Parts: sequence; C-alpha cells; structure tokens
Amino acid sequence: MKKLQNILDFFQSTLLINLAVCLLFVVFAGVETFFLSFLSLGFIASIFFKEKYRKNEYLFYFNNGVSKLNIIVFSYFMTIGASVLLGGIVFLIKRIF
Amino acid sequence: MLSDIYMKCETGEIVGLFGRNGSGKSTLLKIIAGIISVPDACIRINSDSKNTTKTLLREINYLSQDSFIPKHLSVQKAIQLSVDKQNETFLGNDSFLQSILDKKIKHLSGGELRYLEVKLLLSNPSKFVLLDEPFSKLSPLMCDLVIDLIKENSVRKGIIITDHNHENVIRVCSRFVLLENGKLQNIKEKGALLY
Repeated sequence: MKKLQNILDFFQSTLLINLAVCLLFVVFAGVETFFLSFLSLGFIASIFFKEKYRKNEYLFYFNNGVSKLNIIVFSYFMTIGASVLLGGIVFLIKRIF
Repeated sequence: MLSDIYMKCETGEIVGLFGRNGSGKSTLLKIIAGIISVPDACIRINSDSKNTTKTLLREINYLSQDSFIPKHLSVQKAIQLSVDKQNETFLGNDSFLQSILDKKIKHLSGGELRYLEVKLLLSNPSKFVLLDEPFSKLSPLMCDLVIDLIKENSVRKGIIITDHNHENVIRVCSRFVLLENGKLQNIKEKGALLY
C-alpha cells in the first residue's frame, strides 16, 4: 500500500509538466494530438525535468522501497490508465451531446 | 578510487566513517546502498548475498548529503508516504515535528529538513541505515536530538555515519574506520584521526 501511494505521488508530480507540454501541442497542432503527446513527449518531458532538476527526489522513493526504474515504469502505466479514463469521458460526452 | 574494501556492520553497532574530502566516503555508502552499481561488489546481510537494487531496497536506507524529500510535499504527507501506519509512535511527543506538520517541504529551513530526513530514515523497518552528513545544517541543540535518535534506533539497526562534524560522530559511534588512499582501516585510538 505504501509503495502504491509513493508511485501515485510521483505520477501526480509528473502530470503538471506532461499537461503543459500537451497544451502546447493542442495549441499548435490541434486537439487530436492531445492523447499522443500525453503518452509520449509529455511524459518524456516530465521525466527529463525530474532527471535534470529533481534527481535527488528519486532517493525518497528509493528509501520507501520503490526503485527509480519501477517508479518510472509504473507511472507510465498510470499515465496510460489516465488517458484511457480521459478518452472514455470524452467519448461519453460526445455521445451524450 | 576505492579498492579491496571490506566493511562490516552489525545490528546495534554505530560505525563512524572518516576520510578527507574526496576520499570516496559518499561513493562507498552509495555502493553499499545499491545506488551505484560496481563490478565485483558483494553485499551480504545475514550471510545472504544481496547484489541487486531490488533486494537491497528493503534492507538498507541511505541519507544523502543533499536533501531528497520532494519539495511539493507537506511534512505530513512525507511522513504518511514513509512511515508504516502501524508505526503510531513516530510522532510520539516530538513537539518539534508536530509544530511543522502543516508546512511544505520547500518552506522548511535546512536544519528542520535534515532532522525530518534523519527521523524518517531511522523509523523505516530497514536493517541498516547509512547516514551521509546527518549533522550538516543542524544547530547544536538539533545535533543533540539527532544523536539521541540515532542511539535510540541503533538497538534494532546497524548504522554507518560519515560527517565532517567529527565531534558529534565520535560522541555517537561505537567504532571508527578511516578511508584513506582508497583503502579502509580500523581506528583504535582517536589520535589516529589527526590526519
């Protein structure tokens, strides 16, 4: 449970940069690029930011039993899960209205 | 930089690791924790070889020189993510921690943050804790608190400390080793530290 909470926290901390990158894509390349950028460049940019400016924070999760590789891989799975959820919501909204 | 090093630490023991700047103390601790992987390194815990990061994660905690708690967290959240729910005694009557519970990590002073980091690591269920400069940025009063924490937790853990504040290391440690020219040697007398 503690490990899952740590992974969730890391995932949440990647979201802001990921969504900011997605917003740029949406503005310059159209709404249809949102999910592609959310799952690719947005996520990569957030990990790059962590690697460059918050590298030491991986040690916090390491000391709580989650290795750097594990936390990145599981965060990506959560990103996929979030995009599926978001895609489902968008699909439903389109169907209703 | 480091060669032919053999280091042993038992539960209940507090080992002080000394050495000049750049002698490789932090590197040695990172190798033991599994943060840096090197060929031919062998870490054994209770006679079992633990040479992968995955196995070392549960056994060894490492306090780095630089702060490592994510800055977006609050103190309360950092505690919640680090301490098992069963460990209800974590806060206990620690009035200092209780007074900063609602603060964000980014708003803590260097000393407050260091104290929190040391306390979090020592409360983890790991068997060994490696402390790299636990006394840095701490006031003399906070140093005393950290020394008490280390002594209290050494009953159920093996602890290795390195810090340039030699006075405090000498106060708390039960055994000393010196890292010099890439080799590790035991120190029997404090006079040998005048290097």
